[in-house]
Amino acid sequence: MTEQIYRDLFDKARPGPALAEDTLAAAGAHSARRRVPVRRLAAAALCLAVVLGAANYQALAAGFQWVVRYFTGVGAAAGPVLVVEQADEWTEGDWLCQLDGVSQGEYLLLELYLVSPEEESLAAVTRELRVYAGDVPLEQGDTAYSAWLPYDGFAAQGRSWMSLAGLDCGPELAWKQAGYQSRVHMAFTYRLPEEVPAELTYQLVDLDGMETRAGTLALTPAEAQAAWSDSRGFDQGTVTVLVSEDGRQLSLYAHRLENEAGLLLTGASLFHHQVTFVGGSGRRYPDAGEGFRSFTSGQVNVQLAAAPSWVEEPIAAVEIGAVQLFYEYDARWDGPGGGTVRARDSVTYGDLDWVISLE
Amino acid sequence: MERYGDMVYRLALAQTHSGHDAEDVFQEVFLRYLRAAPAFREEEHRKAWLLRVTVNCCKKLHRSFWRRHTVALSETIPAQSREEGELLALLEGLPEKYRAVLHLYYYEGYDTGEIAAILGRSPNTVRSQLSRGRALLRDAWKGAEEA
Repeated sequence: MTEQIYRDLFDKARPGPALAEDTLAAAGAHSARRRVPVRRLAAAALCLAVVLGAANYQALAAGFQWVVRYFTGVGAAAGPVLVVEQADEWTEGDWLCQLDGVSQGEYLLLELYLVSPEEESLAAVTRELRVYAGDVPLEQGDTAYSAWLPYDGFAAQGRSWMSLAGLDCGPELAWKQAGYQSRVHMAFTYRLPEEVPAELTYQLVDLDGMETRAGTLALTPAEAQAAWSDSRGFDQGTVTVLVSEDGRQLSLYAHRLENEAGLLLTGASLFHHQVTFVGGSGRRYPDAGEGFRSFTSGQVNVQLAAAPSWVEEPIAAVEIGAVQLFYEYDARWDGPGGGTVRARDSVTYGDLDWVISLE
Repeated sequence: MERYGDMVYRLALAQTHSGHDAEDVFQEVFLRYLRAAPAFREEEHRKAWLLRVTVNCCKKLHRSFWRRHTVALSETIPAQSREEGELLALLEGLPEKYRAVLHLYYYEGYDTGEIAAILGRSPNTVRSQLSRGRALLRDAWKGAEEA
C-alpha cells in the first residue's frame, strides 16, 4: 500500500516546462564559460606566438602526434614494435582525455592522460582499463625485475592530479600552453596474445564501475624510417640512437640483452636538456622538451626527443650529452638464507659528447 | 531530457525534498550529460548513469553553501488524500541516506542489486538501507494510525 501511494505522489511531481529549455540554453553558455578562460587562452596564444613565430597550436599538436607515431616505431629492441595508429582523444566534461600506447615484443603499454583546466590537486581519479582482443580479455600485469606478474583479471588504478606548473617536458607542455592546469597519468601494461590482432577494443571504467569510454585501438607495425643510426657500447650493454631524415627527431633504446655475468640492460633514458640539435650554421638548439616522451614500463622502453618546433634551418648534427642506463644483475645476499638474488640499479654517463653527424 | 527529465527530477526531489533544489540538480545533471556526451552501448546504461549522477549531485548540493533551507516536500507535491498527506509527513522525517534507495526501489522498480550498481554501494548496504528505510516508514505509519 505504501508503495502505491508513494508512486501516486511522485507521479504528480514534474519539472516545470521552462526548465528543460533553460537547461539547454545554459548548456551553451556553461560550456563556453567552463572552457579555457579567454584571458588564459590569450596568454597561451601569445606564448605560442613567441615560441613558434605563429600562433598555430593545431600544427604543434599535429607535430607531436607525428613525432610519436614516427619514433615509437623505430625503437625495436625486443621483438616487433607496434604502435597505436591514432591516439584516442575525447572529453569528459572539461577534461581532455588521451589514450595512446606502444607494444614491444609481447608487451603492450597503454598510457591514459586526463587533463583538466582546473587545479584539481585535492582529488584523485580511479580508472580501470579493460582491453580485449576480440572477446578475449588481455592479461594485465606488472613487471618485477624481468618477471611478468599477471593480475587476477583487470586492476584499477588510482592516481592523483599533478599540477602542470611543475612539468617542463613532454605532452604536458602543449597542454600547459593551451591553458590546462593539471593532469593525471596512468600506465597500464598487458600481454598480447601470440597472434597479435590488428585491432583491440577497450572499455574504460570509473570507480563506480560505470563505463566512461569504449573504443577501439588499431595496432600497426612501425616502419623503420630512420635515416641515421648510431650505437654506443657501455659496460652494461649497447644503446642505439635513431635519427629522422631531417634530423629533427630522435629515439633511443637499449638492447635488452643479458651478458655472461647475468647483467641485463633493461632500459635507457635521455635527459632532454642534454640533447642538442646543431643547425647548419653551427648554432646549437637545446631540446626544449616539447617533443620529449617516454614510453617506459617493464619491458617497453622507448624514449623520444625532438628539436624545438621554431627552428627553421636544417639540422646538421644531433648531440647527446648524457644517458642513464637501467639494469638488473645477480648479487650476493649475506643475510639469513643468503645466496644469489636479483638486484636492480642504474648508472648515468655524462660528458658523452655523443655526436651523430647528418652530413 | 524528454525521456528522462521526469525521472531525474523525481529522484532529486525525493532526495532533497525541495522543488528548487531538484530543479538545480536537474540542470546540473543534464549540463554534465551534455558536456560529457558519454557514449553508452545500451539505453539502460544511460539511465543508470543519469540516476547515479543525480544522486551525486544531490550529495554535492547537500554539502554546498548554496543549498536552500529545507522545505516541506508537501510544498512541491500537494497531497490529495489523507494517506498521501500522512506519507508525505513520514517521508519528511526520513533520513537522507534512505531516500534514494527507497525511491529507486518503490518508484523506479529496481531490485537491490541494481540499486547497488547504480549507487556504487555494496548490495548488503543497500539491502540494509532499504530494510531500515521501509521499517521506519512502516513503524511511523503504524504509529500514525494508532494515534
